[in-house]
Amino acid sequence: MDIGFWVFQTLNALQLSMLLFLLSVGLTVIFGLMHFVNLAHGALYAFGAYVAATVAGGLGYWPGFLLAPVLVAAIGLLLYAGLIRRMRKSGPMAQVLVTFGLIFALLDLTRIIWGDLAFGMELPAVLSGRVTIGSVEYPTYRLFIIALGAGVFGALALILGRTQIGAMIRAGVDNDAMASCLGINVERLFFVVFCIGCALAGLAGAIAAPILSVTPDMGLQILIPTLIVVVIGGLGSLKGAITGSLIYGFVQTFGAVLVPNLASVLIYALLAVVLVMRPAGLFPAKG
Amino acid sequence: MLELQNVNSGYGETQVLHGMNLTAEKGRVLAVLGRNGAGKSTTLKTIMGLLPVRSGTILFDGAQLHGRRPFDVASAGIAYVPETRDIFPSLTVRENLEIAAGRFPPSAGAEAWTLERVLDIFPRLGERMENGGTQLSGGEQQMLAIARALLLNPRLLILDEPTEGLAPIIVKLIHDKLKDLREAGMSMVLVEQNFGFATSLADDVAVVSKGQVVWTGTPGEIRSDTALQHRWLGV
Repeated sequence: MDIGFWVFQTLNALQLSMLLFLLSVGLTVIFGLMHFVNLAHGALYAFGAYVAATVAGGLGYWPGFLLAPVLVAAIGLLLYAGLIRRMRKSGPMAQVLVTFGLIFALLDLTRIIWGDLAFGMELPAVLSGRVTIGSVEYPTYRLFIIALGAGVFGALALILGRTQIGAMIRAGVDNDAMASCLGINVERLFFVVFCIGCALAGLAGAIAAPILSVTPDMGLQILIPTLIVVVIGGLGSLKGAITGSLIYGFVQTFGAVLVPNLASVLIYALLAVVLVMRPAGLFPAKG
Repeated sequence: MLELQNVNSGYGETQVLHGMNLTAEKGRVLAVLGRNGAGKSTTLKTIMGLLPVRSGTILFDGAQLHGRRPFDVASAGIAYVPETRDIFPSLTVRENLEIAAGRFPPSAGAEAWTLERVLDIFPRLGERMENGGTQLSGGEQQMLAIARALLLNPRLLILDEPTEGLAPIIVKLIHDKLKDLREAGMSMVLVEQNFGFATSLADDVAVVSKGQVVWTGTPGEIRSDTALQHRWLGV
């Protein structure tokens, strides 16, 4: 195992981490801000992948890449107005049941619209080559995913950490009742954050579409890893989402190549350890 | 200015306020006294819209306040300093202040509250601006909670036990600052267990027991009536 192996696997791990980050950050902040469990988050990711692949088939890669987050945010808006707003005060059990049901409704909806066959998505020429890094040749597109994830993380860190609206979101996560007493419309803030979280899920779907095959159940497949990331990282925090994603990405990737026999249980073992040592996760928003 | 008429309210199944009638006048300080569990904090939470009003009316300058959400109540001009202070732990002292600053304009004729003005009142906060909200001492947290409330440019300030758990020297400081605010014409509702503190600041006193007002009068009257103090406050 030379240095090239480590570079290659590290990049693979980073690429998986960034994909999971885009999904988990929306889920964790939505949960932190409003204590709302949206299990249908993975289904929105699948929707994003389908939209991107379909639009890309007609208009090319970039229109698909840009339209997927917008359309998925619009679906999020409909879900919010039609369902989630009414469920806000109905407790976690009802929320889990409804959003769990939503997974299957959305799954069948994608089946009805797009059928059962896997979709592919063509890459634009600029992203389809390979880049040489030292002794390693690595697909440009996967580097693009890493850069995009890092860029989104940087932008979110800046917005959450340095702006007034970011301070309002953190205040809402800390104590929504007090934030409201300071004149902040926490419900509207939640709505905006929810839509952004949905857009990021759509974006994750769009960037995953060219490297994974687009199938109706891709949302279900990603849901468990995303929930693991959220639980390991701790609810409600950006730092938790990025840390949890990196841990998952590296454990999963290196586990699969170094200890293939244990790979499938490794991440669950880690999850169990974290839950025993730090039941609230590594960096929960509420300390 | 603020009027509660026959208000019933409480937590979940438990009713705490039973026909609460309370009036706070403009430019005056109303102290609400009573034993633990009498319904003092519940009254403030009900005013803020944090607890639902089951029946009765709350009027603020004639406008209906009951049934409105906390951020509507805040924008109507009521700022709340809760018993638990509720400083946001994820925010620095500066952010805790900035989140309130400039949100609402001052009422006509009043000078706007700015960061500079609240730091003039509480210079100690100025030295801690980049600290996390919960790295502060209890007294500093109380100062921050009051400063944050002032930055909302309120027409009425409601404070829930601002002296609870504080050292005597800090209690004295908070007392003097609230007295300055009162002199400047700020309307306040002050819930307190500290009898001396409350009666020296108040213009009017209401005594609450079992979710109702059982006595109203002046600080002088209640200070000289030991039987009254003994019966309702256990002083």
